[in-house]
Amino acid sequence: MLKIPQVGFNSMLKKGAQSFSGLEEAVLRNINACIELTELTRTSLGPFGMNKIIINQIEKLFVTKDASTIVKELSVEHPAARIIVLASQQQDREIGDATNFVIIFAGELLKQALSLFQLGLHPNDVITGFNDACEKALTSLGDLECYRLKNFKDVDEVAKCLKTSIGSKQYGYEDFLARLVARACVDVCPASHQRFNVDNIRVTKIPGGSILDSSIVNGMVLQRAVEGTITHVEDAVVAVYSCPVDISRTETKGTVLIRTGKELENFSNNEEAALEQIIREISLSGINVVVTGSQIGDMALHFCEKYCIMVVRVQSKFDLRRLSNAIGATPLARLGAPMAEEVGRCDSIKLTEIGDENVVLFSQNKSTVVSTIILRGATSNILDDTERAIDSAVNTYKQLSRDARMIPGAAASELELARMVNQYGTSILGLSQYAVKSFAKAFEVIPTTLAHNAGKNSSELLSKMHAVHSSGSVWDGLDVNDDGVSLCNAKDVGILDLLIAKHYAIRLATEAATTILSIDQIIMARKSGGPKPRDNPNWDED
Amino acid sequence: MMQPQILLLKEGTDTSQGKPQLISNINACQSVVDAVRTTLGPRGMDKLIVDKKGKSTISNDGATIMKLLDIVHPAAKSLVDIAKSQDAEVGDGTTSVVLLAGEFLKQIKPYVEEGVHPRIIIKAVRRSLQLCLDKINELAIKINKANATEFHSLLQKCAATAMSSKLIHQQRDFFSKMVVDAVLHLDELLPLNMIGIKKVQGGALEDSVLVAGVAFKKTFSYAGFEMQPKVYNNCKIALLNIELELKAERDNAEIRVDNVKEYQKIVDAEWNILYQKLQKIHESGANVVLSKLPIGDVATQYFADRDMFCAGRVPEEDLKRTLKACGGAVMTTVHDLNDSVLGKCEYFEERQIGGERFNFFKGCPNAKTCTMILRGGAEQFLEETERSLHDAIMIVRRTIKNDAVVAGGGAIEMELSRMLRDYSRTIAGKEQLLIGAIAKALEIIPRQLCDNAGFDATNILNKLRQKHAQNHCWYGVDVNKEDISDNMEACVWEPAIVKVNALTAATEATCLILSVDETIKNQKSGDAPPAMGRGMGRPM
Repeated sequence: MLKIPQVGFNSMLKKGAQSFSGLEEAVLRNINACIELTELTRTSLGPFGMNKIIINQIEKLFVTKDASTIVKELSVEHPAARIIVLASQQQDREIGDATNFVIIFAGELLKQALSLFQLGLHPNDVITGFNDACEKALTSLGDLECYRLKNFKDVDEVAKCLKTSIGSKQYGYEDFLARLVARACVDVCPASHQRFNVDNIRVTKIPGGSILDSSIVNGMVLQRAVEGTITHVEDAVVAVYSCPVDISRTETKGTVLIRTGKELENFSNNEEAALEQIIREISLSGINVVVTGSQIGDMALHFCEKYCIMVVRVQSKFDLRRLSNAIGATPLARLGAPMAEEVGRCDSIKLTEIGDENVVLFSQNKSTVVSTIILRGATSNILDDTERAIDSAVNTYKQLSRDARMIPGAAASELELARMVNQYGTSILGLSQYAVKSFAKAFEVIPTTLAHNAGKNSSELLSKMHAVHSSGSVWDGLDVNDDGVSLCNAKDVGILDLLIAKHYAIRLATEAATTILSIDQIIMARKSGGPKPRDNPNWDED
Repeated sequence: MMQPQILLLKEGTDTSQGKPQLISNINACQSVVDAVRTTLGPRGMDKLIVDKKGKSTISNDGATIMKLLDIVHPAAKSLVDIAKSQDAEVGDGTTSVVLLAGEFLKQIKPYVEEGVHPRIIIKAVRRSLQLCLDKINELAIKINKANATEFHSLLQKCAATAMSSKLIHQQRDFFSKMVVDAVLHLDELLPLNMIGIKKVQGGALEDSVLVAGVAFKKTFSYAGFEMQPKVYNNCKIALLNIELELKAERDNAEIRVDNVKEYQKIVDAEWNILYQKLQKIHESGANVVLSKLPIGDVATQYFADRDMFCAGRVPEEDLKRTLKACGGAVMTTVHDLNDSVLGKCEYFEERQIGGERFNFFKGCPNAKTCTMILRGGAEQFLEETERSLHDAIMIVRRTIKNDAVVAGGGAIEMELSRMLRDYSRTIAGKEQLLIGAIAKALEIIPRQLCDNAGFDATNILNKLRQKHAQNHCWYGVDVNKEDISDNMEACVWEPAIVKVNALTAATEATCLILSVDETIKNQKSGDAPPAMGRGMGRPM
């Protein structure tokens, strides 16, 4: 058979490029890929969601139900599905919580869009309708507010707001962990709570014990031993050096020129004397602890011991910065006695053993800038996953300082939004009415999934919730603890979600969905450097 | 029509999901548990493991075996983790923790197969744990620290129980005394690295000695060493971090001389530097000189002429322990060498032990450290002895820190099992069955003890259940009589913390494994993707 030259669009492209166009080939296929992705994370939603084991390409093991971690480590390749992944990562960066909501909701919107296309609607109608409905949903979100955090320094009140965020990830430990995180946050929260920095809450993971053995330290914890023999200092005055504590050496390569025997004899004596002089000066300025971000020489250590100075090495540059921040010291780039305003103060620095790890605790008695949660747990996977739960709780506190409004959780607000948007839908004219109503319907995926994951009848739940909500109790959500399908007042049992998190999540999900819907053609260039096509016995002779 | 080829996930990604996944994870854990099952208890058998490098290890220690097994299954890996965590937190009971986790999963598996939601199971497991912990705290017997001899004998019992399951159980009375003495030598922080364990092949296990002070192997020595005295009374020790040899003062120094005379002066200067150092050391009044860095033959000769003893290249940890025991300071320079920085001890000697010579420092003023010198036959035997002693030392340390004990030999597990079973009958719902399953799972410890000893487990368990139902809460397996006995009276004691941590870790691992419903394995980067067959008629 003769080779027929390619015609049409593909002939313009390089060999090996692929292109797909039209509703059937591009849009529907994209939607299907995205739905497949959301099916993956759906089972992880809510307190009864399941964990996933993910082994990423560098063979690292994750056991988690944190959606943003799952999709990040999955290395999703499909271009449309990646848009959803990016949306959830955006949510992770912006809010640090409710990432699974973004994925599931976007997937459900696409599913709804699928049936609209089957009705014959044009993608543009659907997109306008979705955008319209999204605006409506976001404005009505404000009406759902059921609680507002007033006192940012009250541990109990803060813990109440953080409980839901942890409960959805570490169900069973939410009360304990919420209090722990709340205490840590309250301790480090500056007077004007807008300036709270999530970086000031550190988590130190030490295997052994159980999660309930976790504790909190007002200050920093370093996972290494001290250098010298002094292991405990109260009322420490600390000098922080980012340079090596040793005899100073030149960067430029040079040689020491010795001319006479006398010079040779005195050489190392002078060097020793010079170093001792420096350490003595440091000691005289009241310093009793030296922290270095680099090496400490044997000789320098010896003199530090002589002048009763405790020596701690910090290897990470970031930890050194945080430590300086925590004790109020300025890291010095040059060895020498620090100025009065450059020294840091710490009420107690001591070496202790937790599990079988040596740690140095820098703790302050009263106020502190950095707070560390010492997390205990039986396996490293549990520790990693609990750390993620703590991270999202800390982020929740951060978001609370931006916007203190809370809305009911347990799917109560989603159902109420569904009702509101649906009502709005009936009031508008035109084809976008269908899209608005579908948008409303998409909200129902949250109660359905929650019920599904908890092993309950979702249709029964939906009908019950609709009935209760239309009779006015809009704060009723699913009670996962009860055996049957029953409802509880989310506000009373303390299941509270961040309003701002929902706000961003709905917007990001809608944007991701509409972006995917607006694509009508996919063109993929051939991957460069791929493996050579092999001989295939099934090939036609051409 | 053109078939599009768009993949959601990277090629080579492996996924599996749902209940079968959960069951397969449980099965994987089960097979890991089977590997260590037979090592439990006094009659447990040891394992010989040959690793990748061909090094063989004989061990009875759960954590050691698990570490060497090199498990790759993602879910089963968490069992290795809990064994490690038990090792870190308590130091003993590593086999029990793996066994418990495996048995929890085994008993729960039928419910998973029947379709009970894992989250409900997790809730029940956690609830049982809470009940068990409360019960342990209620039952545990507090130790009276006031009476020193009583406290000592009690610690010995705990150490003996820990050792009864190990290779050295024949000598457990001998070693338990040694271990307790060793730990009581330490200061209140009980730093583990202050107990040195030295192994010398040859001799019998009973020839092992505990030195209240420091002992280490003679270091490499130069000519002249023979002339040095080997015994001192009330000696002073200089601890140095100085190289006592002719050496370059500085690497990047350059010497330029313009006449021969000056050259000779430079050579003399180098010698002078060394002699000055040696003189300073001598003048300080030290009899024994220890250095982290080498001591050369000139220095050795010099010390020998002045009736001093020296040892160079002393390992750092030994030097640190000498420092702890004898006081003083490790000096990096000789200029500040004076009486206050010298360590002191009443008696120093160098003595032959087996085929090795050892340096002993005894009668140290602040003996916060001690050294065990183990004797025995094969190298692997000594290594296992060291691991067993490590476990016993950890147990004694934990008992001192958390002063509560329970009876071992399966007694506490039987009591917890009875308590959970009684409790489960008082509640309604699925939890009744699940807590009942946990109660059954706890019986694995006495059952395995019997199985390993070759007893009829069913028979003995029935006897135990009866005794526990009559509120004799300390009845457990007696491996010596093939019967049951009150293990509190029989002095089979374990620190409560061991049990608390084992149960907690096993529960957390169980919950973790139960909460996973999907495994996704990405292809390792760098591996070529599997050859993809192109279908018929696809464009290039």
